[in-house]
Amino acid sequence: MIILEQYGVRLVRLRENDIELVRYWRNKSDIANFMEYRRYITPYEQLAWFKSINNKLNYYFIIEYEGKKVGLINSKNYDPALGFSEGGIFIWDKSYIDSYVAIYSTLCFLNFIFHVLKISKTSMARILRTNTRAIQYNKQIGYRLLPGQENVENQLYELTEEDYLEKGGKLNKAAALLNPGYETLRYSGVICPENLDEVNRLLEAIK
Amino acid sequence: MMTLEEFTVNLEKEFEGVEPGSFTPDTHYRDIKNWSSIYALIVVAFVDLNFNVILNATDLRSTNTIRELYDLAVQKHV
Repeated sequence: MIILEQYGVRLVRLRENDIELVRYWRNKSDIANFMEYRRYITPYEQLAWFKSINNKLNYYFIIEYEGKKVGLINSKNYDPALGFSEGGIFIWDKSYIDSYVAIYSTLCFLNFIFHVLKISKTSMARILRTNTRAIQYNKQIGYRLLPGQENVENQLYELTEEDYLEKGGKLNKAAALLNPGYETLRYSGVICPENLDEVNRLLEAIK
Repeated sequence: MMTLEEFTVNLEKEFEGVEPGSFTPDTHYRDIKNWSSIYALIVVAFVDLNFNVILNATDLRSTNTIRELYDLAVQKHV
């Protein structure tokens, strides 16, 4: 269990009691159409999926904003040897799609990965080549299309720590200006076997 | 201080995927393809860097064109 907070967003690690909420929105066509896996997800499949990701190599967070659960952000398949994982985000609450929630959540999460946890040098993202909005979004953060991915349907992008420092630095500055009093990243949680040792050490240090 | 023309050219460079030379002072900057909150943050950072002025969401919504954005930044800078 871990909670990240910055810029007014609260990222709460996904628990079993929220997986039906996620399944409800994930099955909506306007969200599923932007995913590689588009088939209807049953409750049984959702539970099996949760059991497969509720571990130290996968981090899925419910995005809370203004007291509402509005989306999901994740870093999955962390490879300790290579030091990278694959990120993703979706906002299901339409009233927040064009708000700052997505970018604030992204910055909060990446700040934790690159500036606090400091175990990843790279973040990856897969984006359907038809999802031009997501492509533009990720490029503005510093993601770059990997060589050889031009003709791939679900394209792989990479964000290095250096590129994030450059592009994310500007975005973080603006987010801090717009959120006085909430510019500092805060984290809290419970030490547990589903956390990486590095995460548990951070939590131990703030006890 | 940065001129309107410089402001227009430099703001355009901040946006990924915008064709170079496509921005004019009368461009409705929030109408660019795939406009999202991330672009709004970029505008806030850009104006802060160049004018030492903090624009909030209401400020941004009060402007449509790059010229109006520039005028607001200049006005707040004084």
